[in-house]
Amino acid sequence: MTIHVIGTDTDTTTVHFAQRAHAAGHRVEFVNLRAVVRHPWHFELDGWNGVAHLRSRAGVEHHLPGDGSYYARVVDLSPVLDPDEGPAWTRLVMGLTAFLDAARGTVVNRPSGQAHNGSKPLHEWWLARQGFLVPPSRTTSDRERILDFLDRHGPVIVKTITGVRGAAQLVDAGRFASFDASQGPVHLQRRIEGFDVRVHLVGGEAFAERIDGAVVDYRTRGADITHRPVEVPDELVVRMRSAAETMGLAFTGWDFRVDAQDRWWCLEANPMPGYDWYDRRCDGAISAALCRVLAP
Amino acid sequence: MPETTAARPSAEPGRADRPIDLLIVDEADDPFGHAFSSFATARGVAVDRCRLPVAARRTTLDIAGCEVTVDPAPSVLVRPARPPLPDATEDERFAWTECYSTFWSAAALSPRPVVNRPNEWGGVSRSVLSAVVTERRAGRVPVLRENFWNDRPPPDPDRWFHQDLGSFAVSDSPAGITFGRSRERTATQGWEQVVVVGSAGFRVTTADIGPRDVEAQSVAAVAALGLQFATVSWAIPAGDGPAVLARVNPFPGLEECRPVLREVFTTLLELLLP
Repeated sequence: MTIHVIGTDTDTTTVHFAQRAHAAGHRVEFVNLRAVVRHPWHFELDGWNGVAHLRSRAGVEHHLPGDGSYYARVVDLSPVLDPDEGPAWTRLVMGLTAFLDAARGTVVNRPSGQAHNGSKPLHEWWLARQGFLVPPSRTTSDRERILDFLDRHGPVIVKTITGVRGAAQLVDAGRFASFDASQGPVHLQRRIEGFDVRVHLVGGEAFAERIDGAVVDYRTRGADITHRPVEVPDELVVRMRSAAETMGLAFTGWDFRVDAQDRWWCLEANPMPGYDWYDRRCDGAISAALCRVLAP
Repeated sequence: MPETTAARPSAEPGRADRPIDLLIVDEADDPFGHAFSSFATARGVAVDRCRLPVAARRTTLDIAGCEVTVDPAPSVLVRPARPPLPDATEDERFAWTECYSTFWSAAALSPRPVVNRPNEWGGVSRSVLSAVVTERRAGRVPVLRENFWNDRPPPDPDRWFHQDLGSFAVSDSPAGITFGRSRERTATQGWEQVVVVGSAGFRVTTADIGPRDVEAQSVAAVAALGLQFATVSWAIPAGDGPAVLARVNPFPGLEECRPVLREVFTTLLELLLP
């Protein structure tokens, strides 16, 4: 069975998966959107059977079956592209996400897989509703309310509301001395003392790493951190599976903080994990699991 | 809407004037927002209009487990928000998306009516530009092809109708369109449009379209997409075939609603202020 990989040849995660799948003996068709978008393109959705055809005037042509298997990382890169390329990219993504949302086959990183990760307060509320322990948060542009939250919880974590750009930081009242509403909104979350755990859930399989270090955000470049495999409590895996199924996602990346009482606080569930960094440390086990989901 | 949400009074912090009943989040040049605001104000409703970033910065959201507080929490009509201009700086774009995400959560979790209410599926629920996907999500079986294209419309353009993906205007000709969406059609006798408000559907014409119940079909399609207010455009075939869904617009314009404006405004106000 062919695995269609849709993304760009500059995205390390996409390239990593394509290479791993190919090395494992799978037939891989790489749909490099960077090559398509440089020339006038045409994307046809056949309403009846769900087949799509993507063609560009440069001669690139892809046949995308509605019941096919797809590993997709389709994001709108228009904000970082030249003004000439940006609009073409936005419109191509419109068509592709529509197709991938509706395709009957298996789609890893299906775009419609509940987008609430892009709106952190809603995402955290949703996780709590699924039974996860989630640190309390406040989202506001009101300085008095920021100070009130800090007064109650001490230094807290501030992170972006969309989830893009910028590492989480630990902040105290001093950071908001000259804050005014035009600088908001900010999303504050109670700090959980403990260590980090990252779990990749592929179908029903969980791959977890404990991450120790003195940094607030372990993704910080050059951070002095250590990784080691860790067991996830069974009942938590069950809860993650159920949540992923509700979101319609075959692949999710979960961030937890584990405190001294061994309570697992859920920080977020990523619907399109950039997992290559973790996969290299577990010798491709996550990619292998993805291939089992996509080409059973 | 979450059952656990605890509402605070809908007074805005730092504003001494009367608490607002209805917030219209729109752009200053939105004719629908302006006209609906006048309609509601004339009926004694305290209305405020503001842009999305302003609404986001006025709001505080507290999440403690499943408990949510949104403050202030008036009823909200959500209209299209204009994104940053192409020459906006990266910081300005970032600030706008942070505001958008905050407003999305606040509107999704508010205990008061919000039309159209964002939810966990997206800022505009499950609505999507593609007619094929819209039909699938609405529980219909799409039979006609759809193209997204750049510079090169499908051959034989008369067999399709076309949408400009810049202005979102729909026309019979692809002329002048750089980025387009085209939907195949059979020979049509004309078009019909239905404005859906909650469980009510209002046809904008009285043309004879045979036994096709496009009002009921429109209400069902809009509900399946998680919307409460939308216009649904249908191509009516020349023969006896079923109407073909062309577009669901979650932000009906004033001109679209004009033929049934009083019914739309009245029902919308009832939906927002039950």
